[in-house]
Amino acid sequence: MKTKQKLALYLLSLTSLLVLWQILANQLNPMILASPWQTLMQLFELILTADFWQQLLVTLNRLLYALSIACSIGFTLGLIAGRHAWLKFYLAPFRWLLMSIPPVIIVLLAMLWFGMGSTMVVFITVLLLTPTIYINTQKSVEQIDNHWFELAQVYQFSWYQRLSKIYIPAISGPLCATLIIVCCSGVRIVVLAEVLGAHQGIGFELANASSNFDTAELYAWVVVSLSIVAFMELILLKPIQYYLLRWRKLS
Amino acid sequence: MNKKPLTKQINSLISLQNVVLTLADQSIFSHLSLTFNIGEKVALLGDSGVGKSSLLKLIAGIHQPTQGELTNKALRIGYVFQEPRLLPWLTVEQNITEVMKANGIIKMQREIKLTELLTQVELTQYRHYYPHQLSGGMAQRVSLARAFAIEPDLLLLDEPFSALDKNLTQQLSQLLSRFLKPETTMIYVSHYIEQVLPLAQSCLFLHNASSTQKKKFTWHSTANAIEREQFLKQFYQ
Repeated sequence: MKTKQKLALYLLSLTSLLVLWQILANQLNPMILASPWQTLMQLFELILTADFWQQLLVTLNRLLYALSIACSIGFTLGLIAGRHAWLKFYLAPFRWLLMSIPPVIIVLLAMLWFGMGSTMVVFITVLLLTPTIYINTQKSVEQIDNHWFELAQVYQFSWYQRLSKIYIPAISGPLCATLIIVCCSGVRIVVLAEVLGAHQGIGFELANASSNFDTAELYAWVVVSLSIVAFMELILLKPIQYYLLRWRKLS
Repeated sequence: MNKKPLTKQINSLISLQNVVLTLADQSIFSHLSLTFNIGEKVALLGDSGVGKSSLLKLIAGIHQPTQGELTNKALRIGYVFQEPRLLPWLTVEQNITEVMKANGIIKMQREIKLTELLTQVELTQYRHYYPHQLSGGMAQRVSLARAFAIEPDLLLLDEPFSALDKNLTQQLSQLLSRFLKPETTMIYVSHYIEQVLPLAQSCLFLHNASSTQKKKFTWHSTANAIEREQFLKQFYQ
């Protein structure tokens, strides 16, 4: 599909969403659903305050820490476990435990252990995201053709060459999909954790707006969270995906 | 005390002493002893499934002997696989330079060597192409260039032209003979004896000696044309 067609479809989809939102806002009480225009006006007002940027920075900071730690642990362990079955079997109960336990239990425990604040938010996010990154990396590494490792061994590739010229390109397809899932989930988890137990951040502002029945501000903060996801996917992940999979585009 | 003659020790590049190889509970070799000397060009022949590729992998260090002793003094090994085995996400240029980097060849030398090799394999204008944009013959030429880029002490060829037609095989064989240096040890696995004899000085015939999977190895010197002729007759009998 051509870029122009893609763009047209994106715009059409976005317009449909806005139209549907406006129709629903006309039908419902403004206390329940603010209109797109009200939300936009509130957002402009918020942007002009210093507090908005401070809260946004706090959330982005937590998100950056959580994603970096979760990706580092999940990717490293997945890479090793994909090649060494003993680690896969050793980690299996931990992975199963973390993937089965309801997130609310993790949130409650984290609040008990760390109290309210950044440590708790980052801890929850890391704990909930790491198994996804780990399992996707481990399964993808297991699928890499052994031929490439034979080649690397014969030609004495360094560990860095193995990582950058074999592992990462070979798993780049599933890796990109995982990064998109993890980044989107990361924003959702951080905001949720902030709603439940933080004195700062987007989630805290959402909870404030909700308790003050300030619907327009509530939706304005929702738009801000959505914009973070859109920014991460379009500005950060798309170029990475393009770079890693550029060789396939030429086929 | 080691009773081997001194000259043999100096000349030998690869030595296998009573090597046993078992892969996935299947015995591939039992008590195999062999020596390959520096600069020796050997054709490794035998039926399918007899263990020719396993022997190459054993020498290259991909497989480890289950028992016995394997000594390989080669510092740089060039390996041309049955299929070109080029990393699909790297260009022709990158596929060759990564191997040179891994073997410690400095950037300036890499550039010179790459240009020289691509000229020899007539792929200069394809240096930025990805493997899937090349034909089978072109990809195998890159694979040959990659093997020679590191100036190997030992060159292992595992039926490198089996998927190519006769004309292309001839062209690539000529290219291979141009690249080969007298000091490079070559072990060339093939089903087709005519393909390897012009390059090899000797043949190693690998076959099942009995149903117990024991392998018997027989050397046939084919140093000159008459002997080669005789060997071919013997081989096809």
